[in-house]
Amino acid sequence: EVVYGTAVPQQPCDVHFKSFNLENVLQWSPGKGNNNQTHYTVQHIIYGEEKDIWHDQKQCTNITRTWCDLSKETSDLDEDYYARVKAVLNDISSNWTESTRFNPKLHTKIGPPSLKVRAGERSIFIRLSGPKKWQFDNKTKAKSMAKYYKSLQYNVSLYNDKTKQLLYFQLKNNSETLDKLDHNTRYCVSARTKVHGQNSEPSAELCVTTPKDTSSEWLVF
Amino acid sequence: LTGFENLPAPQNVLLSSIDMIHLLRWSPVFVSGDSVRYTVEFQGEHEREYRNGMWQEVLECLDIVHPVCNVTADISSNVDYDLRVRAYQEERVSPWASIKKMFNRQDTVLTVPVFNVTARKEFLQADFTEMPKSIVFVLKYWPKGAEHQAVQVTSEQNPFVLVQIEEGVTYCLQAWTHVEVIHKSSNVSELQCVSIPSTLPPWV
Amino acid sequence: SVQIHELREYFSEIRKTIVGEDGNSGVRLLKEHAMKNIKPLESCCFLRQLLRFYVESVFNRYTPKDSQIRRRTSSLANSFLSINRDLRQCNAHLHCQCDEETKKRIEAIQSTFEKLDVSAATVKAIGELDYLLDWIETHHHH
Repeated sequence: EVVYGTAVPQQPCDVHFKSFNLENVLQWSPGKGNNNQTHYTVQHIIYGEEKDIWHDQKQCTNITRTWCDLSKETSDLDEDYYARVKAVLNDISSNWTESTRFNPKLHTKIGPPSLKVRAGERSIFIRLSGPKKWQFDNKTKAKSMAKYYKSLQYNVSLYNDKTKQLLYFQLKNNSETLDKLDHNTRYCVSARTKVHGQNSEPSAELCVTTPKDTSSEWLVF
Repeated sequence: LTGFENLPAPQNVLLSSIDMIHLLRWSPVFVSGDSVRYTVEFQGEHEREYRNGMWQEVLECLDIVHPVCNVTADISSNVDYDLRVRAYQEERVSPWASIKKMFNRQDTVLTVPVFNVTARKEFLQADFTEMPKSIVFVLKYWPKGAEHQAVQVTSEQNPFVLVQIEEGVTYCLQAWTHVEVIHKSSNVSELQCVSIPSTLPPWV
Repeated sequence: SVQIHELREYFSEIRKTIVGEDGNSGVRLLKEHAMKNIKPLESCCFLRQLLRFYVESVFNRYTPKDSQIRRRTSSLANSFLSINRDLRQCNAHLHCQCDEETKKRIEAIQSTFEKLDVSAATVKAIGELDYLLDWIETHHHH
């Protein structure tokens, strides 16, 4: 399409939110034929805002990248949102391309929990927390996603390096001591978060070794 | 009526429901010529009371050959459902034949769960036969002779792992199933007892 | 208790399609302020009225062409009927009469709904079921 001899940029495509632990980032692909001279402008609106006024994004006006962090603007979990993007080339704008309706609480991907493991006498203490919700700044203490998802649970796996046995079990609260384990054995623990029947990726595996059995050294005949 | 109706209607239309799997069965219609096919429809309370008695197709049972239809996906709430089936052969079509009494999934029969128990040093593992998603297993276990110390746990996971156990102790277990959406449980299984191996060397 | 898990499953199967059909992002039926700060004694009545609104005004006017959507709106509609019957039993024991303020909240939802064209209104109402399910989970799930 040509307007007075200058090309009108193609509108962006595949405008969608990518959300992880409620960090909500709008992403899009450049329209066909757009080059890196093309700039983009983003707006968002809260679903149901009667006057249909789209809000500008200062940090995402006339940008060349193809993403925009809208976490702050979409942080109210009781609201749904739409966002839209247009391409601008030589001061000529394309049509807007809109995202589908975005519900942060439903659409965010929930990450694995943080995991702490400590070996004791034939036992392992496991503590799980989070995952942490994205937050604007580091001034306030990061909140756990468990605060926003009442049904959040943890699935734990325990691997016995000697017997090569893998054990799965569920934790409703965030700590557990597994006792009556083997002496002098390396155990590896990993955990996933489970919400609304969806499992997160596994956390990094943490391995600890239970101490040797000192009692058997006294049994001398 | 699109076809002309001189095919006999299916007979003995029955709904059987076990462990939340709901199956509609009927006697096949025997006529000469091409094979007879069937279509099944359902009607919930909403269709009856608010949609002028509208019937809805059971998507998996349109033009089927075998005289059985799994209607589990459509019997999806605790209201009463009506079900009907009719037969087709080329242009000929039979009258509808319905179940005698409307069906409510709360009448499903819950069978006693079958499970194997394996005892290891660190845990007890109970393997149950697979059940539909809406069914959870409930397991009660206690040290033999000390039923007052019984612990009851519910799990959607299978196999089922119990980690808080003592070595060298014999545990007794019983299980049953529970379906939250219809607030119903099965009968309790037979008692199974297993001993947890002890780690002390045999010569101590 | 409310089979919230089941309702979410049914709606998740059709949400994307139905929300995608709602072209009117400037109107929200179940507005946040209408759903918030409902007195505990009023929540039973509020839910009963809202479920009745969905059964009598929304689902029965919604005629989707897609068979899977027809199947799941039937599941939701019949589930709402069954929940309302359970609530009716709760009505017998608990105070379940709506006060004026609760009636106004429901009327506001219905009047916004009636202002829209029927098919747009039913698509919007069903597309907003997440708000209702969240509300039920917060207020009624044991």
